[in-house]
Amino acid sequence: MLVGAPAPLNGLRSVLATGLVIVLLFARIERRFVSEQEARALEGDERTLAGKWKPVPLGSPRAWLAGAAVLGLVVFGLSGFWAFVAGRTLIYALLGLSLVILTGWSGQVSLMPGTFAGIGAALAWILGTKLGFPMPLVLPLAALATIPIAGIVGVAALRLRPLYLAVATVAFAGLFEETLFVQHWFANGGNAMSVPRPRWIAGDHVFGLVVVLIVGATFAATAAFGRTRTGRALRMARDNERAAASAGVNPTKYRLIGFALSAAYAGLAGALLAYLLGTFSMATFGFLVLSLTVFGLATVGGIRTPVGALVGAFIVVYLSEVFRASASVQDWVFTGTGAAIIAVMAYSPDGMAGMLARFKRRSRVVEPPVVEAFELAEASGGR
Amino acid sequence: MDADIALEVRGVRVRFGAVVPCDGVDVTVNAGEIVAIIGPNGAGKSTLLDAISGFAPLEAGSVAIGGTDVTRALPYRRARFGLARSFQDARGFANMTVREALLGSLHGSFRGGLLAEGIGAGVARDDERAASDLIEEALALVDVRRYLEVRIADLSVGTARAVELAVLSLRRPAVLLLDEPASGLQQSEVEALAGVIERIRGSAATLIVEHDVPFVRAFADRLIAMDLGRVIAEGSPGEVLDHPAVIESYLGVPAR
Repeated sequence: MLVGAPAPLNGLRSVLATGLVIVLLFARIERRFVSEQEARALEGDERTLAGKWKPVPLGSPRAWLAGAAVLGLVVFGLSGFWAFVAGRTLIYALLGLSLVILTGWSGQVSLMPGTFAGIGAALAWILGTKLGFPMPLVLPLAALATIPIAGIVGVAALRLRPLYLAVATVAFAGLFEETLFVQHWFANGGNAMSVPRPRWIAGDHVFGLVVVLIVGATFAATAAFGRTRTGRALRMARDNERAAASAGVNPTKYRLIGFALSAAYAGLAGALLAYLLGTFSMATFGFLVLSLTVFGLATVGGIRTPVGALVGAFIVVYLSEVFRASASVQDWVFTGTGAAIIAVMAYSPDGMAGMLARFKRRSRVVEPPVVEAFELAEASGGR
Repeated sequence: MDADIALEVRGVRVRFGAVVPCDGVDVTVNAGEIVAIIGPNGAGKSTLLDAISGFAPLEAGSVAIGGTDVTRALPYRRARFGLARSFQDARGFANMTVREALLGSLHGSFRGGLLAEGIGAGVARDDERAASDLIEEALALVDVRRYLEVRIADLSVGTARAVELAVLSLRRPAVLLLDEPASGLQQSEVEALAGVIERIRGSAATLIVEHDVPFVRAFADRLIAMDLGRVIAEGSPGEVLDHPAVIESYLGVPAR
């Protein structure tokens, strides 16, 4: 997908993959039946919440910045090629992050991250190469310029339920690809576009560091607002629209904010990718290839948490490059990724990141009868 | 009339196609008063709550909160005028923790915007700190302290209801609407719940829709009986429960 088209599966592998899917789905049905029908009855009054879902920590903004600093040093230890791969991995992590906000937090499904990344990349070409703006100006402009475009799509489409929204975004993505992305003024008519890096950060190592810092800062800011008012409001509107409105949250407004923010992240990622690649064409940003790849990596990593975007990008971009040496191993990585998506959806809504967190801390909360919650408060004096 | 009227509903009519679940309903609740609406299934009780909170479009009539007309206001706007409501399913914010739901309830009281949050500016931190302090107050009313980090979907119905009450009281609403708060609870829990509703009373005007008549009788100042989209009786609990029309609507036969 990312590094060329996957080789067609041979017969044996198709059978194995299909078998795996069936086994996983059956195992999941079995498990749900047992856990919800029987567990409570077996446990009687002492209802326990053992081993239940735990939110994956967002990570503090400071931790993200510290992580970026460390990673920046690591990039300098890599060869030029691997510094390039690391930069590409982080840009894909940023694309994954746009889906964490959109799908994980806001509960919407869109197949437009590739499209918005394409718009960001084309803007980098227009602003950076044609108009000669410096990169520090091009990047924020590319991110901001996607917001009104997302706004137009959003106002048209956000009243739709998730599945229909997904279908509508496919239509919009196709529309952009067929019209905007073939314009000479916008995308060089679909031909190659060159976006040279600024001379002072032209080397793969230095540019890798720049990517690390920009992506790190974006993750830090996301962790900051994710744990506060806006992040909560997005999740409230996702979980229960009526209850969110009753709490003073305007669900439509926050869905639009989620959509616009995610587009801005994708636009920034696209512009960064343009500088990283140096030369590219709009074919790189087809919604089928890029959007589905990003969707896959975010789901495998864990679509509800920024950590998941990072884990997913590492697996899908970096590891597949590691295994590139051996074509057959690489095919297995693609097959494995597909199987992992299904496994993750069946077992862990928080993806690999959620699985890791679950192994780490298993707490046990015993739930007493509600009376206690009501009366304990009374004993302590009430209000 | 007087300034104590917290909720005033006048001639509310709701129509869904050929069905008119609410037809000319008047309800007034004063500050500090608890009014319960009783009636059989299909009487229009829940539709009335939807009309008051803005989820059901009015064909006629008006809704005012604290003297302000909110008839045309969207649900989230009404929340800012001091309206809070519970939902019958108590599903709440299934994938959020109890602490997040409590903090989210204070959404309207925050001053910082997205940018302030993203760069961790002081105003955003002050907002969060103030909200955390308020949570302690809500916990004094309904003690769900031990579930703060538990996801709401993992709670039993009763605990989820307790959490919902904590979430609602946290906002110190001027008008509190409760949609069948006792449904799905065990008898001992229902009795304890009555105590909590008494404690919330304070300054809020409370309107409760409930099937469990003995439960609401214990603390309601007034009862309103509805049937087929209309108010059929209103007054003290004793008066309403002895009213011939109420007995007929419950038993389905004319009272003798």
